[in-house]
Amino acid sequence: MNDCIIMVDDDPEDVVLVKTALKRIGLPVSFLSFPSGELLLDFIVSQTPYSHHESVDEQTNYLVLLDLNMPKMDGRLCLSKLRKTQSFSQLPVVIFSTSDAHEDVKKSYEMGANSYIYKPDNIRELEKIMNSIYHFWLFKKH
Amino acid sequence: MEQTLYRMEHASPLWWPHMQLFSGVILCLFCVFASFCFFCIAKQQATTARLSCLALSVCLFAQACLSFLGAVVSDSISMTVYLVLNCVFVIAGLAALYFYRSVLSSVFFGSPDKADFEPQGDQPTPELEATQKELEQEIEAANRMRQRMQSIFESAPNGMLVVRKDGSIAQANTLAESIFRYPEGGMVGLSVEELVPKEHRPQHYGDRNNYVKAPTKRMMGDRKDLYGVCLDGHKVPVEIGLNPIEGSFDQEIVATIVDISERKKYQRFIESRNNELENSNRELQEFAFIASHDLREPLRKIIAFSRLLQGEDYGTFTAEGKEYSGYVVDAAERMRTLLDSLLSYSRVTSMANSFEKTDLNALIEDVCADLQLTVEENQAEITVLPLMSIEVDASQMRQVMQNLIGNAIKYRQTNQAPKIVISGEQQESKYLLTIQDNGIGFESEYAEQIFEVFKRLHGRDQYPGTGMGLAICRKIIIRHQGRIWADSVKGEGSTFYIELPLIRQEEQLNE
Repeated sequence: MNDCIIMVDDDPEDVVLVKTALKRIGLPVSFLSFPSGELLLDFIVSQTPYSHHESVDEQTNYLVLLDLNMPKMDGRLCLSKLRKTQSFSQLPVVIFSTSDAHEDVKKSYEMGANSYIYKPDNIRELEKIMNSIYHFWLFKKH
Repeated sequence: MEQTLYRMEHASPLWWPHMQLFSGVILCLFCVFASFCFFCIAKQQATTARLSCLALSVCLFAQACLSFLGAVVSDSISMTVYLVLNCVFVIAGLAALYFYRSVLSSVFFGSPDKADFEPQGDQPTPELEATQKELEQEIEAANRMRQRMQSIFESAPNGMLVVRKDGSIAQANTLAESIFRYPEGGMVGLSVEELVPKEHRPQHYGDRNNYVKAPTKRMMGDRKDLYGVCLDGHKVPVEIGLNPIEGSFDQEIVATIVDISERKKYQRFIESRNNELENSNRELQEFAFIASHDLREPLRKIIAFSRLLQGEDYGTFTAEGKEYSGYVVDAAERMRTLLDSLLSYSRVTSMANSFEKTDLNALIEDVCADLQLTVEENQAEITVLPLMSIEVDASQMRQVMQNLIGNAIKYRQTNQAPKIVISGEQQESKYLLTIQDNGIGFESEYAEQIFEVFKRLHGRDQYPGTGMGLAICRKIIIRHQGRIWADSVKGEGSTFYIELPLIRQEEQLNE
C-alpha cells in the first residue's frame, strides 16, 4: 500500500516548503502538487479504482492538503465537489491556508474538512505538522 | 240741590270731584286695557322684548291703580299730589315707549332675529340706516377678502388649479400656467386630463372620479413619480397636493403643483455623488484588506526561507552573515506586524459585528484576564468602578479596552507600579468612560496626533509597537458614533475619554 500527499496550492514556494519539510523528515510518502482544484479533481477521478481486480497492496492512500484561495476553482468549491461525490466522501482533506479568519475555519469544517491548518512560517513547525498529518491519517492504515 | 248747583256754578271746587271721578275712571279703564294688551304681547315675545313689554304693562297697571285711587279717594288726596304722580307715570310710560321703540317696532313689525326690516315709507329709520351701513361694510370686507385670496392664489410659491367636479379647470394661477407653459388665462375651461400623460389618462379619470366621491386632503400618486404634460408636449416632473374646497358649490378641488425638475436633477446629482463615494470607499476598504492580506504572503516566504537558510543545513554563515540574515527576518517580521495591524484597522468596518447590550464591567474583566501576565509582571493595579451595560460591538470594544489598558501598562513610570482607574458616568443620552493612569504621559500638543495611523511618540527601541493601536481605537469608537480623546501631563499620567451614545442613530436611514 502506497501513501501519497497531494498538495493543491497555486503558490510554488509553499509547495517547495512542504516538499522540503517532507524530505527533511524522510517520510515514506509520495508527493504530488496541483495549482488548482480542477486539476486535482481530474487526477483523482482518473485514479479511482473502478473494479476490484486491483489488489489491496496496489491501492494508494491519498491525503489532500488544500489551499483555500486559488484562481479558478478555489478550495471551498473543490472541497464541496469532493464531498458530494460518493467515492471521495471519505478522502482525508486538510485545509492548509494562510487565512486565520474565523469564518473560513468554521465554513471549512462545515463543508466537511478533516482539519484546518494555518500555514506556518517556520520550517521546523512545518515538519512537525507534516509528521502529525502522516501519522494520523496515513500511517495508521498500514 | 240749589246749594249744590250753586256750588257747581259759582264755587269752583265743586265741579272738581266729579271731573276727577269721571276722568279717573276713564283713565283707569284705558290703562287696565293697555296693560292687559302689553301683557298679552309680552307672552309671545322673546326674552328682551318680553321684559320690556312686561315693564310697560306693569307701568300702565300702576297708572290704572293711581287713576282709580284718584277717582275714589279724591277727597283725601290733594290735587297737586295727584297731578304730580300722574305726570310722573305718564312721563315714565312715554320714556319707556321711547327707549324700547326698537323692541316695540320689532314686536309690531317683525321679529328682531330677522336681519332686515322692511322699509317703512320713504323715510329710512335710524335702525335701517345702521343696518345698511353694516351691510355695506360687510360687502367691502368680503371684497377685500376676495382680493386678498386672489393675491394669495397668485403669489403662492406653487402652481394652483381650482378644478370642478367634472374635471374642468375653473381657475389657474400664473405659476401653474408657467409650469405647463400655457398663456395667461389659457388653462381655464381645460380638462385636467389634458395635463396628464396620455398613457395615464384613463387611470387618472377613474382615480379622479373616486376622489370626488370622498375628497380628502392628500398628496396625489402615492409617492410615485408624477409627470405633467405641457402645452408643447414637454413632460415635467411634478408633485401634486389635493385639497377639497369646503363649502364650494360644485365640490371644487384645489390642486397644488410643484415643479420638481430642479429637485430631481439635484437628487440625481447627489445620488451619483453618493455612489461614487461609496464605490471609492469600498475600493479603499478592499484595497486595505487585499493589500495587507496579500502582502503577508510574500513576507511569510521571506521569513520561512530565511529561517531555513539560518538553519545551517544549506551552508554556514559567517558571524556577519548570521547578523545580517537576522536583520532580514526581523525586518520581515516587523513588516508583518504592521500589515497585521493595518489589516485589523481595515477590519473595523469590513468585519464588523452587530451591536449588542454588553456589560462593560464583565468586558473589562475579560480584558484584564487576557492581560493577566502583563498585569502581574508589572504589578499593575487596575480599579474598575461600577459601569453600565450599553449597546456595543463587544469584540471591538474589547479591542479598544485591551489597547488602552495595554498602553497604560506599557507606558508606565519606571519608579512606580502602574495604577489604572476605569470609571463611567452617564451624561444625558451619552455615556462617558474614563481610563486614567499614572504613566509617563505625553505633551498635550500630541493629544490628537496619537490617534493618527502609524503615529508614534517613541522610538521602536524604547517601546515596541506599530502606532496603530489608538488609530484602531478611534476607528472603532467612530463606528459606534462616539468620540475618543486624551488628556495628559507629561510625567504625571494620562486620561483617555470615550464618549458613547446610549441610543445610536440607525446606520442607514430607510428614507
